[in-house]
Amino acid sequence: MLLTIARRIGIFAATLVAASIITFLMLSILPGNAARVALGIDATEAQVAAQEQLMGLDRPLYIQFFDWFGHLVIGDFGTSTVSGQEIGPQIGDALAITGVLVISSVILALLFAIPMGILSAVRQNKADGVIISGISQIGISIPGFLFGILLVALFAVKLKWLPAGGWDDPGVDFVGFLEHLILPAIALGSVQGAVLSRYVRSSVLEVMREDFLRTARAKGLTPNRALMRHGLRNAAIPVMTVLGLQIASLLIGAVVIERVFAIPGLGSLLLDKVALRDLPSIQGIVMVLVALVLLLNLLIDIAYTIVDPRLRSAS
Amino acid sequence: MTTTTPAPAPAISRLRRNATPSGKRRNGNLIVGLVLIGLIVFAAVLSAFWTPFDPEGVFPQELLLPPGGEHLLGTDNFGRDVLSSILRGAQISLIVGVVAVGIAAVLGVPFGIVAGMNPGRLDQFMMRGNDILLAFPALLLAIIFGAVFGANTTTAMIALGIGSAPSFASIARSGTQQVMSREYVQASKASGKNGWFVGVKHVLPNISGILIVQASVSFGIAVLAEAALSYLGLGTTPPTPSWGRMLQDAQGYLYVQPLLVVWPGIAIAIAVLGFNLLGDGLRDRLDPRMQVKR
Repeated sequence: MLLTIARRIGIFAATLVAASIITFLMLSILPGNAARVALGIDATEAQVAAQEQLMGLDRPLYIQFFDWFGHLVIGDFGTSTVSGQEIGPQIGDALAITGVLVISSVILALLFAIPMGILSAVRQNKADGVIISGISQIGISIPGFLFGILLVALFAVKLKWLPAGGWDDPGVDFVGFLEHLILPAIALGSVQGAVLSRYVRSSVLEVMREDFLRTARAKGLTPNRALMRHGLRNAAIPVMTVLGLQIASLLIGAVVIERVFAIPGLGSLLLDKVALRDLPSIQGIVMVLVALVLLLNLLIDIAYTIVDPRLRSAS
Repeated sequence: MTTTTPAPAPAISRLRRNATPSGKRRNGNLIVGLVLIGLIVFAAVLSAFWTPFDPEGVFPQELLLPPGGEHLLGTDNFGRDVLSSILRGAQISLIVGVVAVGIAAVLGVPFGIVAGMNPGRLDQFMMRGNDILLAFPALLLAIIFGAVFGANTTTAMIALGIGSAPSFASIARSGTQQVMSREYVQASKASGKNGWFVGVKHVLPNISGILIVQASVSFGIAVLAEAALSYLGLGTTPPTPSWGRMLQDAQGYLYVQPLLVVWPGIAIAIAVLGFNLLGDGLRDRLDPRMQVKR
């Protein structure tokens, strides 16, 4: 098993390096010279050439890459060509906010999906079960950013219960922090909650047909107790997989949600830098996002290997 | 990392069958999906010939009118007719969907078939490449492309197409692997037919079902992504009407005319729901994996 995990980590590292090469090339070769951007459109060719030399852009591309990647590995993201600020700390601050948002939305999605999924499975042929399935189908169809705007329209504009956007530091104003967190977390988690509830439902239904559950019933447990004691643990495995796969898409979904609610997270930072054409910053943020996606996939794979013995020797 | 195709879908359909043994609801999904998509297509075609007003026409004396009267759904902050913009907006959604799915299929399907037909080193090498691309979600790729090439509909379509190609490749590969183990393929190979012949004549037709399902799902994702990108200002550029752009404009006038976010919102939800249902319905009909336990 350790060998399999070591192999997975090796593949992860190789993929990460390849992804960093792609990121670097996409944002370096293509039009939109960083030196020209830094100087503005009025700069003369001579000024641009001097700036390129200053920024090291006149070196061969592969040397530029190793320089960038070498610093990246030790956590140095370089400085912004537009503002001249250190990029690393900016990314760190923004990532903390995005992390809080994503984790809160996962918790909310689970709080919705688990009871709803179980209920609609247990009552699959009854009206309420069908209604819950219908709600989840509609929930999947309303994109998070749209749901976010609708939430703002209702709770901020109409009812004036919650702020329409912005962010509070939990250390400074915890109540304000929660007030700013709740709507975006719901918006970001809504689609995931709906998708998850469908998987919970199918997983519970699958388990309900298993022999061990019939044995538990035969032992004298009521259907509900049998499901609680023996069924749910088994139903949880496929749901965990989907959840893991979804965290990556939540991370990208957060980019849009942060814009809806004007939250200063990684997504807002990325879009701001895109507007400024601040290429070194964009490279750094993209690398962080891609690394997180790959890391989450790696963790799912490893968790799988540990949970499911059949996968230990495979590939 | 293993190349995981979005596998869980089968389980859902299987138990939906469970819920209605007659299978009526399966057809229901397909029909409702087709009706909703039909609505969008109708709006797109109709708006090519006729809209109540010019969707790009600005009427400064008729700003932010409520629904009703001459402007059925009201007007926006430039005095543009909302209904006309919604109808015309269907065009850009469908175009982006068609082009993005086309690019994804053209890139991903041959890639997946070649990988699936050549087990061993080539397959492993190609799938590692696929994994690397999978690390760039389509929306992130579109934002990068927007930063590099400038944000517009063309950039968005190409980025979404490239971003969706890996999932086509994964699906085509796993389908191909199944087909390759069949006897008729073995027979064809034994009779001296070359790889091209087998791939085009045997593999492609036999995986077309799962590819159509994937196309439907990807179409919905592309429509959604276009709306999101236009909302962020990285997709369709004004004055071309786009639902995402309309949402962005409307958000600024939430306190004045909140209904403005509702109309494009409904349009987006109809399109996404339509393609989701169509994908589910087609999966039950076309995906051979779904027919085993019928």
